[in-house]
Amino acid sequence: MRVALAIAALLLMAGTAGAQRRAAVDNGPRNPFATNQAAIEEGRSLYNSTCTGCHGANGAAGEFGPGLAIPGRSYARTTDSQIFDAIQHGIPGTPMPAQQGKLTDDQIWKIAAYVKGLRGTAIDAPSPGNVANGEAIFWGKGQCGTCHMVGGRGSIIGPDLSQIASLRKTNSIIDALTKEQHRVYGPGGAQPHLLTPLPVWPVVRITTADGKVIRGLLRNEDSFSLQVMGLDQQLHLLDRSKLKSVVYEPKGLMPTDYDKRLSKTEFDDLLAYLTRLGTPPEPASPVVKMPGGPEKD
Amino acid sequence: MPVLVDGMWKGKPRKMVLQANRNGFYYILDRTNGEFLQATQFVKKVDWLKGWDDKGHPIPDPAHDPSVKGTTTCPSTAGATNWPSPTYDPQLKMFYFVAQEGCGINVRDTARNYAGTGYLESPEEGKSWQLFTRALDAFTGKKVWDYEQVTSHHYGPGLMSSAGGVLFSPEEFGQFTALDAKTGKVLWHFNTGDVITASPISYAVNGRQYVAVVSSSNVFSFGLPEGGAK
Repeated sequence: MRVALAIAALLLMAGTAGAQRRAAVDNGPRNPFATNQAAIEEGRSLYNSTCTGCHGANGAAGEFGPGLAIPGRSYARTTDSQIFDAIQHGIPGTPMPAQQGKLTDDQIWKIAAYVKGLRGTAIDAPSPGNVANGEAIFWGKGQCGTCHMVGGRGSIIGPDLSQIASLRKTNSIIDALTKEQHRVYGPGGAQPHLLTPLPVWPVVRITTADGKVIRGLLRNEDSFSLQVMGLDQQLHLLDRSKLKSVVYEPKGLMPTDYDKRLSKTEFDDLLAYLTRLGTPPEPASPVVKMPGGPEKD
Repeated sequence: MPVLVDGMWKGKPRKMVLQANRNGFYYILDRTNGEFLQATQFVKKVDWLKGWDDKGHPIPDPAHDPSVKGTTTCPSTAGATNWPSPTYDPQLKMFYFVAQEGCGINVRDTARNYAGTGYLESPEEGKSWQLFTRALDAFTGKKVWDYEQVTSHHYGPGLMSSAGGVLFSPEEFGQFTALDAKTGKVLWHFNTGDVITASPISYAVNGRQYVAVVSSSNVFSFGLPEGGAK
């Protein structure tokens, strides 16, 4: 998956000139604070005191500068070192000022980690907490495994969460746990168009002609048939004309009161576990100078 | 989409134009002079107008102008019907069309210099928009029957009626459905496996009749068995 994405990113960059081409040959250092939640929090407060005036809160665009994490937008600077460089040296020919001398390198890296986290998914900035305890809550008190699967364990009724942190932002995961009508946050910057909308599967209660009741998620339907993933973990392929009744329930199956059914610590631990379900960012690759290779500008 | 019909109107022969308008009203006009004969509401909710003037022009309700906050208006910007072709059966004197039930939210965008730049589906009633194949008595505008196109929510394909009393009514997500033109009862259906947005057509080759529809990039053509139906 990651490899495919990298190729897609290269193809994307190949289509544009100048600044974007830089990204393809970037072998700069990786952010020493990447995925370090405490540092990212510090980055957030530094961003808020330094960058928000132009770039807006949460990177959502401001009066003078472009948004730094806008869904669907492509960015010229996507790697750790490119973001660091833009903050440290500014961007010549634009109002973007250099922060060198005003902020320490560590502070700049922390802002860069925060910006990267805004653009990325949960795995790029996992939540702090007791991961092992969160996993225990997932399978125990939270009853998440009654519907969801992780790494081949659990149930097939709901979506498989093995890669949830690579697919969703932390905010989106929190909202899914706490809000009935939760919105899915867009991808932002480095991963344009990657996040698909959250599938919504209505709950149906079906009574067949012989009186059998099937309750489950309506995976598909048309004027003549229904395909239902039953709570019995069986896929039911049904002919509409042979059913006594089809009742569409107003509420989904996913509980959205995890902030109430769990204590604050338990919720944080569960989030720490969920925001690590996925493929972690690749470690920094060593700088390789290739004779005759593409030149860095 | 206007349908031209010559027939009797209140005992007198008239050249008429019938139209299910996206504004939610089914119009009958005299096509020789534009005279307004009748307008009947054909979707459940219409709230954009206050009434009619004596020439049959609607009087819009300013309370339903787009606003910065968003104004819910019925029908939606997509219309109570849209491009899907309607059809008329001269034997049954019935008018068929694709009705789109639902409301919309119209937003005035202050960042630009023109109004009503944004529109959304209204989330009312859970199911925001729903398509129906709808049959009206062509000259009273009264609904005769309704066929709900399950999972069809936007625009959808057009209709074709036939002299044999069969109404061909494809559905947005690939069902090519034939209905009894008189009752709306399903007679036959075929799943093409891809989206249909076109209207069906009928043609004859060497005296044999076919019905065809485009689904995605494929053309499906259907005919009765050689020697007639068994």
